[in-house]
Amino acid sequence: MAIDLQVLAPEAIVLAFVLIVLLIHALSGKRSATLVGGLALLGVVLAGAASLYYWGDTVPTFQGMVAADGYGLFANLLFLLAAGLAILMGLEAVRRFDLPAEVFTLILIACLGMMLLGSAVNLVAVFLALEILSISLYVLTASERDEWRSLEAGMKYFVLGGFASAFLLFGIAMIYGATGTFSLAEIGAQGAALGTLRDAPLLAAGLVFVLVGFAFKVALVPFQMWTPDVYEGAPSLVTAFMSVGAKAAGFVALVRILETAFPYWRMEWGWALAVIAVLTMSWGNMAALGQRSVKRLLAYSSIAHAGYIAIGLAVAGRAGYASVFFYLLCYTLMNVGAFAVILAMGRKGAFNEDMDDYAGLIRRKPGLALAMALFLLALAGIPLTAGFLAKLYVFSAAVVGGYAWLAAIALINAVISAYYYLRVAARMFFGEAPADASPIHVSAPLGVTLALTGLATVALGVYPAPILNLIQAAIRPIVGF
Amino acid sequence: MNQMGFPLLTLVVWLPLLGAVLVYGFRREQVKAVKAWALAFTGLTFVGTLLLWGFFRSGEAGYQFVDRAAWIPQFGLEYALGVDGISLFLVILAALLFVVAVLTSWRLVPAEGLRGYFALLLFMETGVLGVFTALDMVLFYVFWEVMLVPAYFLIGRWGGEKRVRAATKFFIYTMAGSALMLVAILALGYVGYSASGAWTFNVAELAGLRIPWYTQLALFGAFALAFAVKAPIVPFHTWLPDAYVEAPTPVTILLAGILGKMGVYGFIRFAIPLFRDAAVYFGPTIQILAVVGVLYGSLIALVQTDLKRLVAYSSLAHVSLIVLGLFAVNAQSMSGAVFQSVSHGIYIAALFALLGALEARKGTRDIAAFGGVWKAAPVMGFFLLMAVLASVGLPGLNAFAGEFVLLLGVFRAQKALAVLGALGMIFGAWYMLTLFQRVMQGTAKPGPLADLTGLEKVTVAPLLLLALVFGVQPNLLYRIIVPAVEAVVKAVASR
Repeated sequence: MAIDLQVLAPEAIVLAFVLIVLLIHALSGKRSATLVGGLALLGVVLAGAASLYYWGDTVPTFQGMVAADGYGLFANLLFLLAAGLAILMGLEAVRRFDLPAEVFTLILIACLGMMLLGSAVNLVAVFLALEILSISLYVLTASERDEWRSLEAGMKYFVLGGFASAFLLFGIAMIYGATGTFSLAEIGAQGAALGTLRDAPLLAAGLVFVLVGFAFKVALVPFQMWTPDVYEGAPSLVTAFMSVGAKAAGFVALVRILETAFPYWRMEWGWALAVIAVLTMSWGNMAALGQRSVKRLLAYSSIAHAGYIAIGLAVAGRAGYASVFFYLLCYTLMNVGAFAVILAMGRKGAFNEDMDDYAGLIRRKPGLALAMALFLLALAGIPLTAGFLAKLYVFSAAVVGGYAWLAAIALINAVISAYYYLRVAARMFFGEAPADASPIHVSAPLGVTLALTGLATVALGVYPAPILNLIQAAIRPIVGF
Repeated sequence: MNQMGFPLLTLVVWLPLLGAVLVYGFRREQVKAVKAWALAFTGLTFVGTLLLWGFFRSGEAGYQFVDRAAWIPQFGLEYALGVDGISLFLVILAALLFVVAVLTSWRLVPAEGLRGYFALLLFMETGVLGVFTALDMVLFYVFWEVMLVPAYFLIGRWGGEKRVRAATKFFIYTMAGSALMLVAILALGYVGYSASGAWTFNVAELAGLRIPWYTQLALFGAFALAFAVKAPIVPFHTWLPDAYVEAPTPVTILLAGILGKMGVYGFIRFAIPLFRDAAVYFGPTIQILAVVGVLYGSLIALVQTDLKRLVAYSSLAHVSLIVLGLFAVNAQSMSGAVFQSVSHGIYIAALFALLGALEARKGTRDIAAFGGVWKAAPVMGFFLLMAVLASVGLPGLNAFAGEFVLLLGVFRAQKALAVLGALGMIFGAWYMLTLFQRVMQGTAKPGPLADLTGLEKVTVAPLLLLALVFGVQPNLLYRIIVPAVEAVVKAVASR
């Protein structure tokens, strides 16, 4: 139980770069967005390299607060990917929408929170990490300071997020009351001796409250109400970042908490999550059907995807968790790509988020239209994209885990989702461009974001075998060999 | 490795996609070069499929030209392609019809977006060929679904007035139909895993699997739904008239000629041999739906005033007859069904190509707008006559050789159904000959009407020639089809 800074190297690097970026930003004045963003990106890359370097060690540190195991390290890579892509988008967004350069710092801090959340093996650490993450996201959401909807979204997110944190904290307190410990492993050991849900009401209530808290964070029905407004109001790069990063962090932490501290009630929380998954994907898809704003549509679709991911969580076991990880990775790529297109469409004062703004995009900006079509098809789960294999993995885990009905419902949902994704595609390819359409500019950072996410979306959809190996190795510290 | 020591099948399947990517090497203005490029790639692919025929060891039942490689070992997924007597001619037909589609696109597609058009067409060819050759069921599903994307964009961008609606309907119907099939494929893989301890989705390895009765019913239902939408079988046919009519002529040719056959192929390759008990149990129900489809399609075709719509409904009737034959599950009826799948593809392509030519000349599809065309355009008249005669099952042409054998097989088992199915052929003669009469004979309507161009002749003539050749020499096909079909029938009989 030593304090070993080395095993937290990735987190330490991110923290160091938070300070460096802050300092450089303060010293270099206002016109340094590119420098600051570039430094932040460097930090992300170095932290990613460190995560790969320490691959394979499992060392709990800081008095058993965090564990640098393969699980946490893979989660780190996922969060760093999301943060890196967000920073890339930010390099353009900061100039285009006149955002403060502090967004880079805040993305790094949020990423630090995610990384700690992925490694936390103690409920206190879980809570602290989640707050680091959440508070930076509140500020990021409101970072478009002269735009009312951004401010409103930030306020909404802050209030409801605080509410969720309170639930989580209350749940942690109850769990502590029932077991006398914050350590996940010890809760697992003590809880197993307590018997059924009915025999241990306090612990059970604690579990429920913790679940509710996380359900808020990852936007599962019925705790999703904040999502559309916040996702629509936040600057696109922030929406992209939190729809993938915060979701991933929440699920990664949930997997560890449920599997380490509550494996003996797997049946019960499995069923609860299965029901929630059905509600979440159905609600998200139904609500998305009627949307006109592409950004809001993607917000609802993001809820639906949380539902698909929850299936993997409900199924549990090696295949279930691995499918959650793979889905998160694929979703990160395709969703960030889609939001990068939304960012490219907008400019200061005119976000151009309505479907009609996308009409005839294939003639105005063919590359952008093709990229968007790819991301939409991937989100719909069409084969030869990452989205298909992500769904395939989750569904095959469900079939094997005895949840074939859940897979069937999810696939029917996928068909519904195809309808609204196609609506956008139909506008882009079959519609007439508006006469007063302003030219669309895709700058280098955005182009790189689109190219990276697009290529990865196809590559993962065609040949995912190496990544799957990595993920299956990463799951081992959680579920054993 | 296969009999050639060379991955010919892989080459054939992926060649069109290569062409699709490389077509963007041309500049927008190089219209002629782009067209020639598309023709070259579909043509090369067709030649490749003919090589398959040439090197095919006839008389053998198993898969040939098999290419296998690990794809996603974590899921037990393989890249596995192969053809047998059932799929060989469907592969050749598909490659042929894509050549025809490129030729019919020649004048039809505006220069703007031409590269995209041909890229999508070639992309779709890879999807279709993949469907008919994939031996891994997930790979099959991948091709099956991915093919929807180019079809959607082709119909939605280059189709008729209500094209976006038709394209969306087509996409969503097919996807909805096949959604449950994916779950069923995964469940089937799991049944295989439980039995043997190894994950595989290879249809050859799963074929002998003993599946519990209720699981069979559920899985068969999921597969059958997907194929019933695609074929289509009444009552899952409502997307068909919209899609066939709104699609641009080359795509209609493909939809009617080969895409519908994917449903038929799915039944005979997967649903029947994998779920033998369920197939026999559900067989009569599906046959009754098929007979309903034959009669319903025929009756609706009788009252159509729109050229394309009439032939679209006739296609529904003809494909329903094929399904009727499939589920009689004897060697005769099924061989006839496979043969008829190929022959229907040939004459329906000719029909739609000729109707497309008529529509292009008059700017309308209303039958009442035509009359006495034979006088103005005798070659077109002759070609249409041939196509119509082939479609009504005139002895000596290919549909007769298919439908006769098919109905004979059905008759052996279910006399009433065979009689009702034959009734459909009579109706077929009625509406097709009426169509011919109203378009080609009678008084000529005002306005000039040019005869077929050289290109149009070159496009349609080979199809009609094939209809004749296969009508006179059906054994060219049957000797390869029958052994493969007999293997399926034997597997079902010994369940």
